Amino acid sequence: MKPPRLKPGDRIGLVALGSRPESPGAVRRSARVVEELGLVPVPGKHILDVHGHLAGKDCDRLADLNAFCADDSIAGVFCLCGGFGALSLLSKIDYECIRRRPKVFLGSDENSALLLSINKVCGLTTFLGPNLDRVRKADSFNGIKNALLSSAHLELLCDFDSLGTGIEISRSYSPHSGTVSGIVMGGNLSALISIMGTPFQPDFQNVILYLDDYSERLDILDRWFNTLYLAGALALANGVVFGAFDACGARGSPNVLSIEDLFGERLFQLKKPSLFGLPLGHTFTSATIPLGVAAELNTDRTRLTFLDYGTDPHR
Amino acid sequence: MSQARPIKPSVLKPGQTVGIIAPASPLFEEGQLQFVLHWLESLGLKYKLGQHIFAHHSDYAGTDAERIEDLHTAWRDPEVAAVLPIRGGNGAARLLPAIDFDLIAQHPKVFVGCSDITALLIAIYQKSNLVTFHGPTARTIFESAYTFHNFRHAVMSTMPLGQIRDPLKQTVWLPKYPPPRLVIATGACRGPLTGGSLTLIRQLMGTPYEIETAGHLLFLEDVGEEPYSIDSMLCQLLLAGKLQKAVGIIFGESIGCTPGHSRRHVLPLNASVERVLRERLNDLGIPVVYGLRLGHGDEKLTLPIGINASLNVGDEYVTFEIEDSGVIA
Repeated sequence: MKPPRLKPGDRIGLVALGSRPESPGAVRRSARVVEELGLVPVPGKHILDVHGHLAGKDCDRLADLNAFCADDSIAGVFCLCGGFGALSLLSKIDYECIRRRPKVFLGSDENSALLLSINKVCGLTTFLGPNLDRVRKADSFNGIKNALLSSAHLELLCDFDSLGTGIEISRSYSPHSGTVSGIVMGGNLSALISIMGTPFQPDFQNVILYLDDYSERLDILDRWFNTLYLAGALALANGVVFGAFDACGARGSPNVLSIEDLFGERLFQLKKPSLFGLPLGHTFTSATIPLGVAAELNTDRTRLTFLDYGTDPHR
Repeated sequence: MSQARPIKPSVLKPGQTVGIIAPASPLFEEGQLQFVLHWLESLGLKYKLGQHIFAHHSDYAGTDAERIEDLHTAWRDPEVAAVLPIRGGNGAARLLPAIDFDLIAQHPKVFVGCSDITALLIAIYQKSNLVTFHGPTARTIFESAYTFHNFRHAVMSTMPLGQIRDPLKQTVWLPKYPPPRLVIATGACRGPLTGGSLTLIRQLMGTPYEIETAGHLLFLEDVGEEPYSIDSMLCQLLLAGKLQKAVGIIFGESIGCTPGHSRRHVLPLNASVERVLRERLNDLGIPVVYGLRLGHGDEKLTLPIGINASLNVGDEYVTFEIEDSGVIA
């Protein structure tokens, strides 16, 4: 099931499901981004609440989310910021309501867990793209527009460095090459691991698994990637693709290889077509992709091409 | 679920040989081993070293194949009475698909460790139905009198462990936080012990080695995690029904888990671990206590996984008793 494509004038609920937004200014700037998309921002009532590390108590953050889910005048729910704490809401979200009134859900980082849960429970396509406080460059702004408001075909080409006129060096790396298609599923690696073993764990059969992370230790990322191996997820997936791992590093470990080494070793061993370097999950310049939609991965052409839209233009 | 009562290994006796292996990370300084070997000798123990304990591959002590070879070699060796990982770190869970759990079940041996070794403790308990021991790695057996005496009682004596005592107070000035028995929720319970490092328990979720908590007295601890991260891991276990199925929870002293003292991303807003525990665990209807010295501090218990224990948490007192020994004569 796909949500209706967004159109100018649609109302968008803004939520902070885990951490509190950095500042009141972050809420104002995020609302301006939504306005510039031609949409009408509606901030959640509790968005600037403070409770420990959270933007308000579980019941209040949940109330904001469930109120938007139940409101027919709201066409989409955009996550304002990442952080931590969305997990505790997952078992209390009104999924039945979401199923009856499909909307566009957009977010990243820990909010990946919300997107994956809605996808799993409701079978609704959700959207992995920058949390609004991360939309600070044209790439991320246009990425949201392309994925949610337009009929453009979505194709992601790996990042490259321009070293002068006509000299472009791709940053892609492919531990095992190949061309495969599958349903794109995944998001922030830590968030994905945080729903493993729960009713919200995604199905990995026939998927192209997408992973990124932000500000995490390499040995922890190695741990979490190994969970996917132990769970059989890597063996089940048709292919595995990676976005950015910004601000990730060794941090205290005296010896640790790179993510490409650590993850690549396993993917090579499993002969799994895989590609590092997709322009997703960057701090300020992330693309937006639909989760639950088929795509083709071509490692030689360093790209992921979606075979369908994430939104429904006719509803 | 390990239905049959778990097999106990034989008590470790002076004159016997221990196998020192590194199934996770190696010692960074090779000289740290000398100290450990001297102490083992003073206990009358002999030792054999795994071939690859100083190998390096990323932060592992050698490749998966090398580490698994050392583990199996030690376990197969009829002279080796106990297998003692030298340290945790990272990489133990990577070995799980290659471990011969039948070999382990057929040759019960004392196996002690914590932190990253939690992956092996839980998997061996659940797949080989063998009592394993959450306690110091070989590197830290001799870090304090408390750790040493608890280790010796747990694996070198067949006396039931009985009432668990806290370390003696070093001074009446400025006691360490948390106190060893901070009450989070009152109640009484009884069940076999299971548990370990929260990060490792998360790492095994959704895999064939996922922790089974039903009917168990669950102990948890972690090191160098921000409170938000502890919160996230507890929320995951709640979503998976793991905490609700336990009969009681002992949350150990968790070193370096105050905001800004971890090696994790630091947030501008924070709750404390204590507050997280109070919010997430106080209404489960089971006893919960925080602070027992069973984790990464230099005073730690050696807890036999699979052995019955009881926890009584009242407003004014907390008792924790392990009813039996984890080893047989």
